[in-house]
Amino acid sequence: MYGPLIDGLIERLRCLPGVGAKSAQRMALYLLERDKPAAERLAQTLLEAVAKVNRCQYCRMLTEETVCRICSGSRRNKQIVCVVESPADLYAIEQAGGFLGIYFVLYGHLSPIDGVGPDVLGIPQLLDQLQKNQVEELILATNLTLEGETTAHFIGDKARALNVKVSRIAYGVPMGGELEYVDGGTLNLALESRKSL
Amino acid sequence: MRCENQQGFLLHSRPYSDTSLLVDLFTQEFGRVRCVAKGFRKAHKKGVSRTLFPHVEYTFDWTGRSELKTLIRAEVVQTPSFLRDEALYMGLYINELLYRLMQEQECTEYFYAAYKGFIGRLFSGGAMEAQLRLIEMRLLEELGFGLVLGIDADTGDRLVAGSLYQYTPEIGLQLARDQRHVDVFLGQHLLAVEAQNWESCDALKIAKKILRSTIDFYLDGRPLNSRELYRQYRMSAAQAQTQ
Ligand SMILES: [Zn+2]
Repeated sequence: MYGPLIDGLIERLRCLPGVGAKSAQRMALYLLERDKPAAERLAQTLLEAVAKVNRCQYCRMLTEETVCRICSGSRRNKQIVCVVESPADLYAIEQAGGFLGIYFVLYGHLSPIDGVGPDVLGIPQLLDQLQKNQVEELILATNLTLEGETTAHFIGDKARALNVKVSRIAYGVPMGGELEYVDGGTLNLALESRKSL
Repeated sequence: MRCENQQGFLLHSRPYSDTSLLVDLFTQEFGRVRCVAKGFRKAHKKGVSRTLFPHVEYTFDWTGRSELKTLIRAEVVQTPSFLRDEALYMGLYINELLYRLMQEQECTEYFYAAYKGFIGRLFSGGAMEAQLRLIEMRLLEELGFGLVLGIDADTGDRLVAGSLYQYTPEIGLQLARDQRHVDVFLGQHLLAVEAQNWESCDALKIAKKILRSTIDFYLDGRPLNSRELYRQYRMSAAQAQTQ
């Protein structure tokens, strides 16, 4: 409609999550007509990031180095490994600030129907590292979905077979949550994983 | 067209845009139904999650004329919970099997009851192998691929207890041509499988072999990934036991 370059840009922008035809068009026109320098910086940064960002060789988190800052951090306890499904989950835990171990990012969960098996998620690499680095505790922080539970179970069984202590993050009532609004499944799990006071 | 108060289970869901899910349901009245569940991925409101879980019975409402429906409502029949250990892998397996073999909108009321009973037994625990073989048989029957176990496919006569037979999907049992072949079964054992007399001899093992070759035949090269996952689970379970 606008010519091959503009149309192409709109089409490319649609690869972003949550960006449909309308918002892609708005973004493209904004960059081209209102803020060309910003568009140039965006293009350069994007190219550079794509060229230089890769996965940390230990935890698979996105990093510009071979080993990420968390894995190479001197204050981190490398004997405690927390397994998460996505980089966003890792960021969420880091921002909460209460965890001082290291991570392992799966980039997904086990899903037989979608053809996602242990290898794609790097589970053999994780098990290998557990043994080599004599990890003391493995914390499974996958989502509370069937796939997340399956993944936690699967990794947990394998890690226990290697004599590693395995724990699953506790689930329950959200902070500030009122019991009467919490769904039955969550309440049952909260009761199941109760702690003595 | 609007369908209301339909009993069913979620077989599988995947993200569909930022806030929605594409869900495959197995329902009592309409068999497999595929819907877009708009807004079902949105964050919890007041601690109430709209996430759908497999192995839990729901009451669904959906609308739409095309093959892809719009899910409007999903209400749990019982409080959802997760299967554990071996039962979890069996639950994944039966769902994948249904997902791969059953066409959309196939009418399956009879199999629905069997599936629901099977899931219930997975939660209550106990020996599941015979149950798994039975549900596989029920599924094949429902799809029109039922096993014919008591009859010689060449003659139409009942099997002879002392004869050896071989099994071929779509054909059935025939007198074994090569008796040294691994997959040759004694008539007496096959009759035990037909009678679901699992205590006798190797009835479960034979049923597993025959069902596996039949299922593989109808999968026609499509994968069954939960089978491999189950195998790996069994390996680590065995490993843990020897320690
Ligand atoms: Zn790292």
